[in-house]
Amino acid sequence: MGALVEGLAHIISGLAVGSIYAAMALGLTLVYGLLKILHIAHAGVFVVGAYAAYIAYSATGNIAIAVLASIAATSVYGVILAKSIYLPLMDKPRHIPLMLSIAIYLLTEEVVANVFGHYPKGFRFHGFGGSLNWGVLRIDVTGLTAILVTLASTLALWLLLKRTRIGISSQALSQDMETAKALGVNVPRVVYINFALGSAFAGIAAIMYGLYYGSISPYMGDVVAYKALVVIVLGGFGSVMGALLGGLILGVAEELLTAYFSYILPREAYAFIVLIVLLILRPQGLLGRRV
Amino acid sequence: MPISTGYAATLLTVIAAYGIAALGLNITMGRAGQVNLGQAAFVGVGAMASAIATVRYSLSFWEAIIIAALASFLAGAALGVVSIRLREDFLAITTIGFNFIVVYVFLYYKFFGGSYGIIGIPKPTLLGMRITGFAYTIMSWTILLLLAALALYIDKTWLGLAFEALRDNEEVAESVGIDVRKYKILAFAIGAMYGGVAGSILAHFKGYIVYSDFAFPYSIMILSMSIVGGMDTIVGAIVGSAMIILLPEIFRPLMEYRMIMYTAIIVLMLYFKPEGLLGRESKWLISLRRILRAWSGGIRGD
Repeated sequence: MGALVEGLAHIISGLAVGSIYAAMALGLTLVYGLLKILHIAHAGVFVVGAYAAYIAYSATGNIAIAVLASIAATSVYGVILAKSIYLPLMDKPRHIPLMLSIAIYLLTEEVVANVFGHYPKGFRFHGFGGSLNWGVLRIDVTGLTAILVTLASTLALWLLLKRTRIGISSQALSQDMETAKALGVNVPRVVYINFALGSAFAGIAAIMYGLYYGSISPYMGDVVAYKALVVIVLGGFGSVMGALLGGLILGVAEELLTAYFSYILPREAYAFIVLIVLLILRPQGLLGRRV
Repeated sequence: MPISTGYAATLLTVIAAYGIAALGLNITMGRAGQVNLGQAAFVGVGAMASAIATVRYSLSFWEAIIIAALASFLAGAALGVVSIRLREDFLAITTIGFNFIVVYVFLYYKFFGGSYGIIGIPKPTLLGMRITGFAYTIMSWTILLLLAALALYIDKTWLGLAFEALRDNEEVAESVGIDVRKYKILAFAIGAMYGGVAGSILAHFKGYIVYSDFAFPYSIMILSMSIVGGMDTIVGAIVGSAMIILLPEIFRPLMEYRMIMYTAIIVLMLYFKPEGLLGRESKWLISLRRILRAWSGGIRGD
């Protein structure tokens, strides 16, 4: 019984961490679907979102303002990156935007570190947290919130992509950019909206990350960025539901592996190994179809 | 500011070592077109192999540097095998992942020194004399020149041609009978071997190494050397290394902002001058060649 409860607790905290990965991966999926570029700078957007929320909350003490500030900062930053980096360099060899994206991520990280300090900052919303006790099972409120927020926003995004004009334009664009252009899709506009949306998810993920771990740091994007890549590979590229599932699977798998096999390698290493093995064995992703 | 010989020797040695690492990257990325964003991992494999060979097994530096070259060659070949299955972007992130895994292994296993690293790595000896200070610098530059000559030689052979074909168009390369798999593995292995030699030189110069010396930011540093100098030339790698090492030394305030500098350089170069300052297509290199030719009186007449 004790072992069962312990196992369940591990699965729940795995789901919580996994939903943070999933929220991060949603942004990457949107961008990859459209431009077929790995948007590593998304991790920089994530860091910007965390510090925007931190500043707004320190200044006002209002949770809603902190969330809005984070979403606003990340969307603007995302659109700036799309406008200045990705769209102008569409015709260059593919490794150029990729390396630029990585460099921009590191640059963002370092600028944040130099402005706000290299050390982690405590991050919590007052009156938010604690745990629900359910018999022997204790459920962390922040973790539960992270799961619910990610589920709700994935659903919203999925509906948006399936049901609205802008969603359908995005799909057309991701299938064939030239034809979509010829049919009158305003390409830059669709790209900007996707970047704004995807980046907003990074802002939300950053807040959930800060609350869940109790602190933020300029380097918080390092590992999450990589795991978000693992997630989109797991989920098949460009698929929203795939990103959600991939995130949850990775979170739970990691939690269980670390809980029961922690002595082999540190937690962070598993995701990298999973990624490499997966890319070799199933390059189209676990849920993706072979093209 | 007076420049002591010790300081100059240190800088020159570090420039030579990273020049070798960047040269390796130029072979893998510039020549063969295979993205490698984890070159520091191979520097690490070489440094570790060399340190363990000398400290734990009391081999000489000369044996150790060969072992370092072999170890990183094999590690590179392993990554090369993985690369066969991967497309460009995913290859790139896999190389980053490889860098992280290597660093984790160094940190996690006592054999590789764990969080304390390995100390007491001996200086090389030649004919009973310890090579230190400026002599070490001369030794590093000699190795650099030998490896540059090797790179130049590779360029002229079938191997170099195959690398270029691979970079320009894999399908075409395959259709004219080039074994794409074999040359991809070789491109990684040879580039990694250069990294390993660089690691060995650094390890014996500093006398101690620790896992964090080979973390991902160092891959970015080596990448910025390649990008600044130009990916596809030998002189580019060396000039790139000198620039990236010297800039924060000359402008002391930059020291603290080194990572900002490396990344900003990469961003600006890729945006405005993706071929590098001394790349094949670069006007600077072309005019430099012209000056050199004028000096030598156009003996070769090409």
